[in-house]
Amino acid sequence: MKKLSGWAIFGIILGIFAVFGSMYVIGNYNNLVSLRENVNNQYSNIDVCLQRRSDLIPNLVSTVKGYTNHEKEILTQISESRAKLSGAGNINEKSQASTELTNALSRLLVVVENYPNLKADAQFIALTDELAGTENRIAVARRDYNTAVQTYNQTIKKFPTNIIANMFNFESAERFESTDSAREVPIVNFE
Amino acid sequence: MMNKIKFARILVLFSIMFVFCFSCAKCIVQPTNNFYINDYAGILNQETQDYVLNNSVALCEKTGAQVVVVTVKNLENKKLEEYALDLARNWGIGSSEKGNGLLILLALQERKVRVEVGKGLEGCLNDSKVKRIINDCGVPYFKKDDWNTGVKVLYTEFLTRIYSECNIEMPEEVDKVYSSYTTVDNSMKNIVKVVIFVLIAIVGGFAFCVLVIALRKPKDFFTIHTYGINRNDIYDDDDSDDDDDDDYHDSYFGGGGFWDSGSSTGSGSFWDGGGFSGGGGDFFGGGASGDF
Repeated sequence: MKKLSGWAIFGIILGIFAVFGSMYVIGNYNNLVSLRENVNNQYSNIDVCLQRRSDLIPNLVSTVKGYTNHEKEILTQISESRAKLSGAGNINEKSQASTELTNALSRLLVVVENYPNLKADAQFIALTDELAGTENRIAVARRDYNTAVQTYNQTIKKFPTNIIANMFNFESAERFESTDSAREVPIVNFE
Repeated sequence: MMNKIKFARILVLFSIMFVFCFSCAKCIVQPTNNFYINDYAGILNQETQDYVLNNSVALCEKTGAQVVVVTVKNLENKKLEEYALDLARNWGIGSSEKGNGLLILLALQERKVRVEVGKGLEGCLNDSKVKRIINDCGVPYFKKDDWNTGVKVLYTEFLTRIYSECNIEMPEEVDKVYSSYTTVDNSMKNIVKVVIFVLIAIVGGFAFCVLVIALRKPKDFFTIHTYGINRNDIYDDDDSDDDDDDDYHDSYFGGGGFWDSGSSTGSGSFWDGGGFSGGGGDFFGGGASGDF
């Protein structure tokens, strides 16, 4: 065996470092991609749930209309916030419109107490149960989405992954907040 | 002598730390050995428990679906829906491909019942239907504190629906008793777990101490007698080391969590020797709740 020169050893060590370094970068990059995909996936889950609720509303409104004459205002409000939700572009608008719709719907359910016939209607009961279930699904989807966002955001901000995230333009994702201030108990006037 | 005492102290300290790391991982109840029936509130008699267990085992064998009944004293200040969802997900009720799990949860103190429906069963058991079943079959009995009848009627109703969804004839009577699964006492299993943990902790602590001492006194541990060896021979050894690197490739491409402390995963099925366990079903908040 011939004696290796100092430069050769240096080169070998450098080569090993380069191999490990690039493997590390690739692994991290792939990890970031899958985390971001997860965020997108959870976001579309929220969309599915929101859509499901929006689809229920026309039926609900028409059922309520059949029994009531004086609740035009609240029905209009529901339709408006539904339209607003479907037109919402970014996450902030969406979460705000979603909260508005939730509030309008819960106000409707309080108003309904005045109409015993409506409350006993089988169609109406089924619709409100579906709505309650969908609200729960939205809450679950929102929680899952926020967890995914948190994991992703933490990962791209931690050293040394943040260097790789910066290099490949991984931007931090926005949380889907339920604005708790907007979720006050609805005040209903029976005058 | 002093060194020995110090050594023992360090060992004990690390053992305790090691055990603590594992013990506070989850804050909801864990499945019992029977998995399908978990009466933590202590309100169901043996007959009801056997009924649920036998029928669930039969159902799982025939259709792959899993129906689990859990009763708890209280929800530990959590929301009912969150508690039920966490439980269903952690236990992994239902199979992972079909997501056909169903959880019936009774909270005594809050006087609430929740039925969590897995993704695969949402088609035949939509939220309004589940709500109606709860109100018709469960709540009337629960209101009178007739837990055994309520659980049986409610459970049977869901069982029937799942069988008819799968187009399988529901068995008239399940007379097989799966007593073999209940022979291992749960407390005994826990003792075994603790013993294993302590053993691991001692080994881990010992290894750590050895490492610490080795780093402190490297001379005693890493004396290499190089007097008779030519320097070149050592360099030759370095070249042959390259082959070993292959072992690391997979882990580097996969998770990439090189700097992260490992996150906790899985449903803890590792320790469930014997008995039944969940298959990792999917839950997205389908189902309904009821008060009684």
